[in-house]
Amino acid sequence: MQNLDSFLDVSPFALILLGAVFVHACFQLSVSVLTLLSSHSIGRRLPNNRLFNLNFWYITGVAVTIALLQLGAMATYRWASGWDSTLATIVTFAIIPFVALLMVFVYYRRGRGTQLWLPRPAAEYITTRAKKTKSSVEAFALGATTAVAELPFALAPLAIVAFAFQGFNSEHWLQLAIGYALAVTLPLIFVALFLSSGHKVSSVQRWREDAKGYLKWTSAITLFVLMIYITVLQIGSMS
Amino acid sequence: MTDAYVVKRGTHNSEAFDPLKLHQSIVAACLSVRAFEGEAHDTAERVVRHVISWLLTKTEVTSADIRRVASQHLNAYHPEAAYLYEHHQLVA
Repeated sequence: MQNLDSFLDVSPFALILLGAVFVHACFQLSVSVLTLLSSHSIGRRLPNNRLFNLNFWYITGVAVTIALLQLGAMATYRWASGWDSTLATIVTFAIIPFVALLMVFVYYRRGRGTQLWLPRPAAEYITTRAKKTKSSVEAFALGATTAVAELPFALAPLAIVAFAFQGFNSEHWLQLAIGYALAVTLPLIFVALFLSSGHKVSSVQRWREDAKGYLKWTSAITLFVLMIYITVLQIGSMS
Repeated sequence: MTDAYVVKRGTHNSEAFDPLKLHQSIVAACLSVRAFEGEAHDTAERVVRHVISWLLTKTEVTSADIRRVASQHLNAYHPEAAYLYEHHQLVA
């Protein structure tokens, strides 16, 4: 019975974390840059182990940056709620539906292909860097840049996790941030393994194009559901 | 040869059409779908010839037009490369 009680205590947090990870993993910029990096590396006739190495450091760059951003979000939330907790809650709950609407109407460009909304200078910079990346350090930096460039949209899942886990002891923040970053980068790891094993970039691109509508709507709906779920939990804890 | 000018995306600057640049970009697209080196160069040469003959009646085109026509012809020789050539960009 005690086990069941502890499961019921943990499950809301686990569900929120799962939902936030799903939404963050649906963002396509890091996958897009990974396929760009891979296609240029394959075009340069790099052996598969070298391609795997570049992809590994790229993914590490993305994961480390996401973990740092998550830690930053949690620290900011702790600081803001200490200052004015109502305002912090209002800002968090304003960001989530705003990002959900952006996901539906702005993030994925209409028409064929897998183009995303990005400021043109940022997109051109990332494209140029993806073409020129040859070393592990450059791949790591490219991953970090990509994770930061996606921040306007990633803010929603990061804020959800920071809000839901505000009561957690700060000693556990690092484990949470690392676990979150690893879970978010799982699709990248899968794509990197797929490409390093000799498959074509075009098959990943075709899958992404086919799944565009699904990813767009499920991530937006998940954000709304998470917002409602957290609100219900908040009301439940107050009464 | 053609005297057509290409209007660049974003900057809107125009420059003379460079067949070598087009050739290189098509070779890169073919190689990135793991085509053989010789096959990639042959395909690029054929596609560039098609684009040049299309450009003969034009004075100014956009880089998007070049991409569209090139990918249309590339599709006949290497559909996978054509797909990647046309759609593999971060922004449109």
